[in-house]
Amino acid sequence: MKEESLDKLLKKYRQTEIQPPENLGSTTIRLLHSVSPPKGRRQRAKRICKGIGIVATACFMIMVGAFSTWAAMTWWIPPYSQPAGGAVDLSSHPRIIEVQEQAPFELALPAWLPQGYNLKNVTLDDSESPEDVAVFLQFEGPKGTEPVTLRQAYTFEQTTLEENNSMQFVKIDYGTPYWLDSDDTGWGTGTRNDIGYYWQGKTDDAVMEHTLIFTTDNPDNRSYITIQSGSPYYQSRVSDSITETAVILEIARSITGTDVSIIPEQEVKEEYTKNWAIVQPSYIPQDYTITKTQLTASLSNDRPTYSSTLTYSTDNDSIEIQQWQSQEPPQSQRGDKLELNTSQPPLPSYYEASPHSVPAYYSAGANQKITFTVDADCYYNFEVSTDSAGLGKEELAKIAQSLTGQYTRTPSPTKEQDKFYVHPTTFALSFGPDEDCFISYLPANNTVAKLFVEDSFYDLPGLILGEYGPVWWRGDKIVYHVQSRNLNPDEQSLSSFFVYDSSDHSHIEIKGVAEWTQILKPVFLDEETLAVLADDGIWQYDLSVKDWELTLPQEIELKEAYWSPDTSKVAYISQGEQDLIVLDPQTGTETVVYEADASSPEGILDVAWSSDSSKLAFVHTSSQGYVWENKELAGFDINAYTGNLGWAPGQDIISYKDQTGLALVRKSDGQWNHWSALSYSYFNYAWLPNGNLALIGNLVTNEQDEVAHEVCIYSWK
Amino acid sequence: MEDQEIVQRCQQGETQLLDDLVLKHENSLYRFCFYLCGNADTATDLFQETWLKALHNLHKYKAKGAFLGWLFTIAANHYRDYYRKRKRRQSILHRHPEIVRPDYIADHVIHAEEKLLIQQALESLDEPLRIPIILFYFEGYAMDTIADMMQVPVGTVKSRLHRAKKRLKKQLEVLL
Repeated sequence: MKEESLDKLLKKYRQTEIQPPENLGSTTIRLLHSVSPPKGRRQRAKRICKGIGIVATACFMIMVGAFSTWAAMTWWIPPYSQPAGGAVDLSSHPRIIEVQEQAPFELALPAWLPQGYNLKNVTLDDSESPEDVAVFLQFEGPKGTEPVTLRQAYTFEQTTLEENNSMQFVKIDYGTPYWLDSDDTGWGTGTRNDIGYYWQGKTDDAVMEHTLIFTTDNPDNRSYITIQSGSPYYQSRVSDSITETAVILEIARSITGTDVSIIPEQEVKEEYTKNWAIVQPSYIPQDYTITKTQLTASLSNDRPTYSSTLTYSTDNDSIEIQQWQSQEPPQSQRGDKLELNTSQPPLPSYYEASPHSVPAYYSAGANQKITFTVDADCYYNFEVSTDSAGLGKEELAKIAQSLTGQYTRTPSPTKEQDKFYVHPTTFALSFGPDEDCFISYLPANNTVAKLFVEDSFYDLPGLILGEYGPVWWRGDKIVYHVQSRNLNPDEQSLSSFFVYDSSDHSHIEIKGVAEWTQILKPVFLDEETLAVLADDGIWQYDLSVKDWELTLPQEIELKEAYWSPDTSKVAYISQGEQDLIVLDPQTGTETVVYEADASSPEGILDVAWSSDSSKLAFVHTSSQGYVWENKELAGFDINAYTGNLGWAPGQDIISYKDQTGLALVRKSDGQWNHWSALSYSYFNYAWLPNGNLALIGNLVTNEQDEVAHEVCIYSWK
Repeated sequence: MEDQEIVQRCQQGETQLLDDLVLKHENSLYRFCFYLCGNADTATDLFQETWLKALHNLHKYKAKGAFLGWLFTIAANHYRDYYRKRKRRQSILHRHPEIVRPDYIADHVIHAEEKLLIQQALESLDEPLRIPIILFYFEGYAMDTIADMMQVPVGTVKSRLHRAKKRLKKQLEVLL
């Protein structure tokens, strides 16, 4: 229904009359005639260098490859033996070709099938929408064997494991783990693509079905694959030929082209399941055994919500343990306040009962339940319920008790420290040495930025003249660049740098070099020296000599520069290829951090240095972030980036705005992962040098009855 | 003459032949620019700057995909740069979601608000997702043509459309 409405809406928008202005074509032609195409000397040189690099890399790879093969053949014999079956090539099957044309994803085709199995049927279900389809490949084996079905779709939202099923985690050796984001549907953010889920459906200890679910590895084309054989509804048992787990895994191997193996239970680490951790109670009353595990992942406000239900049963009674996560505290539950003894948790660690939802016991007739919440990195909510008359409050409390204490809480900037108001058109803040000294950027009222110091606002000079760049602080002094674009193309634009002393409100204006036509980002190298990176290299300005000097001539195609806080490095994005390069301003040595694919329409959207200047984070428009550290690149996923990439001062924590709040990415166990999304209602944010967080909130009416933005300062708790 | 042939001759020095391409693709490229940036003035600038960049980089063009697709890519890249330079200014224009409340707006202005919301929703998409939406829904290109233009497999176009629509659905929930 919605699908149709969206299509209709988009088509309606298309009908809007959009015509180019009169003579646009002829004006453009005149414009093109007035310029001549330039020569690509530097690009050619760069291509040659790239060519040499490719050849060198290829030689190295061949040597490494040859050595690895020799080493593998000599020293390592794989313990794995392939089940009976053979290679198949389904890519030229007419029905596969036909369905591939209609499918929105690349079909996952097994390159191996168990002995005697053939493709029987290929169907495409697009009843949901033309893009939201599921493709089914059905394989049939010799008489007496059960068919194998392979389902591929975008969505995987729920699976229910019943009747003594136990789920096992499967490692898919894709190499670099990819953390699924909300676009990937189903399991969502926090679950890795290199983990699959396998379980056997059993009746009376006989295996009736096998299911393996995993995702494909192509981020542009991610889909879920379910390999299933047998069915609990089948009258017969699954025949021996297909009951082996190895067969299912082998099919998955032939699809992924990589190793797929069950992770031994003792090796299932928290990292594989941390966002969907099923907390098993360490206490369950006698005679109750687990009969059902249900896992659900759904998206709410662009964020995944993970929940699970464990059911423990006897012949007549059952106990249900529901657990789910939430970003917001749950509502208080009706019932009697209950004390859970957190000094005896199964795992001794931090535990804090949420003040919003204290543990509560509630009973109505035979139904009883205990609800409680663990306030950790998010809210972990539990409900232990039963309708068994034979169980009392004490028994339920013991189960609840055994579920507590298994979480740690990572500090986050959530403790409100201070609050003040700024002009209603403020859209960004830049803090000086402390929180009492900042610049608020305003695009209106003829005053485009104000400095707040000693409880008063001061206008910054020069900004009204044109576009301006960010300020650079050094103690009480700030420096910034203003570029006024002259509307008459025959006249030069005006380029000025302003050095403003916030201690006495004096300032000096420094004219820029005439060729500088873009906004530059000046920095203080020391008390007396300014520096900028321009198209022809590093320029320095000595405040006592009062002149610019080109100290490092270096031809670069500057698009945007980002100085490290200690000014020992400057990162820049190159104009043409959009490569990210780090330049040593002393030696001129260039290090390519990220080389863009020349044919890709992607580019680098934002760059930020860590406060200790040792790491560089940047955001690629394809929803991908990177951290450059010790000359190594590590990736992290970006969830709906809306701007302002930053680093929490003094911490390995990256921040950015997303559509629902402030996303924080931190380094843990050597990887950069989303750890917290603070669902503040805010407009923009800024880090203070002391590590506190300032959030520019929505418009409010302050004590003086003025409309203003509320700025809240948060410290870490 | 086909686009590829014209470009080839331009590459060999007959740059005046580019005039035909400017006129031929005037409407398509302008509309694409308009859908990218949402206002006529910026679209005009973007149109001209796209052609300037195309002229500048003409020697790099290889007749792999459609020429118009190449122009679209330049426009999208340049728009992103444009956006980067002006994002400080744009952020103030970025509306808080609560300011736009179609429920309270009189019937006769709903269309304008709808357009604004759709444009904002479009702008929130990354280029790889936005371009297929523009080309498929607004420009009416077939999936395989879009794939050809963007030089990606048809499946990728479909999956990007799927992802883009999913995001748009969320953003445009109030209108659906």
